[in-house]
Amino acid sequence: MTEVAVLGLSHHSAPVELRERVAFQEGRLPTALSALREELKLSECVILSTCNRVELYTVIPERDGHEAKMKNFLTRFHRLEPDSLNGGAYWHLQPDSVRHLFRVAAGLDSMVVGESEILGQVRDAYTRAVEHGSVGSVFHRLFQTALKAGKEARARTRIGQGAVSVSSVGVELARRIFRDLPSKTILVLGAGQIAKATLTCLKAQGIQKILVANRTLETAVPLAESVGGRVIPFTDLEASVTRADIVICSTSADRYLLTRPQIQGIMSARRQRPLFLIDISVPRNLDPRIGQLENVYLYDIDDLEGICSSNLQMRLSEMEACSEIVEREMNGFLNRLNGNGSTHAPAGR
Amino acid sequence: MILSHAFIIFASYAAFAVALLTGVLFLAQESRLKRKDPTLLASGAIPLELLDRVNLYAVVAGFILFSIGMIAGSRLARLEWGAYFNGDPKELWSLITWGAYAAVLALRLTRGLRGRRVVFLSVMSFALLAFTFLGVNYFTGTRHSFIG
Repeated sequence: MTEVAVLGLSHHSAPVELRERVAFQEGRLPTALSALREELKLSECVILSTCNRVELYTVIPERDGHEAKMKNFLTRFHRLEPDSLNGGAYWHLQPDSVRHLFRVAAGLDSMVVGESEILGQVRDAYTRAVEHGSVGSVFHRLFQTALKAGKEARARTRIGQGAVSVSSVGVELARRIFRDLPSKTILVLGAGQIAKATLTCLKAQGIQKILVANRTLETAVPLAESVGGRVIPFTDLEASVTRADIVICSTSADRYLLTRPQIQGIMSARRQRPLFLIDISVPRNLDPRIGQLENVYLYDIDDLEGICSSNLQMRLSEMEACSEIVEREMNGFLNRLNGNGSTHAPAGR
Repeated sequence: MILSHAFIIFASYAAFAVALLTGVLFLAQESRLKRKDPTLLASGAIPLELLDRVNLYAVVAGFILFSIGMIAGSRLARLEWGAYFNGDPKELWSLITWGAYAAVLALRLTRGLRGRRVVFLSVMSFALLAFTFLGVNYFTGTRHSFIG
């Protein structure tokens, strides 16, 4: 009797130092799939390797001994000590293995619950294995059902809704303020990591006009080049803010760079066009009283994280409903598998 | 002639109703953005800039139609009642309403104001409009009776 098994390491079970050592580079996947099938005499296998998880899905002929063989394969392939997995790996057999894949695809096992990237990563892993010829009738059916269940869980619950990172919250807020986001101008003051991430997210919305100001030119130039922006002098902030619609502030200054009277003057100069200010700096660089001005929307790091946390809570509250969909789909799959055997390949993807 | 007067006035009401709707949506969303409501992103929304713009266009359209409707009405009054302005409560409150929307437009177009305060004024102006349309008939003696 064949059954689906999975050996894996994820952010739940292993630190990043271990995960990065067992991760499969894109170019080495075909070699790994071939080696796995040949060495363990497996009919079907799929390798899912992302920054948060490395999982080897296989159809094994019998339960005995395969956990050790799989672990042995993983450590040998990556030239690691045999005991290096050291409790960081998990091994699931049916039905837990199937349930695990369904939960992964639905985003229930993700670090950020409900994130949608994982669904694409599962699809890619499946596609790569299909191209390599490592997928048979069981895995065709398993992965297609898991992908369908993942989509359905997101469509029928709010598990994937609401931005949950500071940068994506910044983008979502901008979309609620501005009508034609791509036509807007962003001004970046400083060059912190979150500022860069927020800028990248906004640029992905089609914004072309990006101004970068930093006290040190050596920091400003690479950032401006990486996003196709223009470096402007840090000296005349008021003129720069007058031209911008969105300002991302992330400098190490220990005082307010802009005060309420300054922004009041700027708003008159820009004829009250809305201004969205994101102050990620700690200590804050923008006087909080600026937020009281009409048509000015000022968010600091706590405000943004508050929204992230609220959205995450909402997603967590959807986990139960999402799990029910996953369980129903999983049971349906297992019934079809047991009832019909695994002899019928599905018609299409 | 009375039909065209009534039709134009009702068309202006429709435009002002659009201004009311976009105005209320603007004020609700702007308030959530200002309060930094953590649940703000849990539901969809129309951008504030778009609501503000549609509110402006609706007030402009409503104001033009209302002005034409009032001119048509005063010419009708001259023919029917002998004078362009007869001191009828409906005429009086129409002028007040016209003045309120004129103030909204003046603030927007000459002072360049936009956002919460002018949108709020447009919403309040609709309250005047509602009184002109319905309240006057209930609380005063007007010759603009719906059944008369």
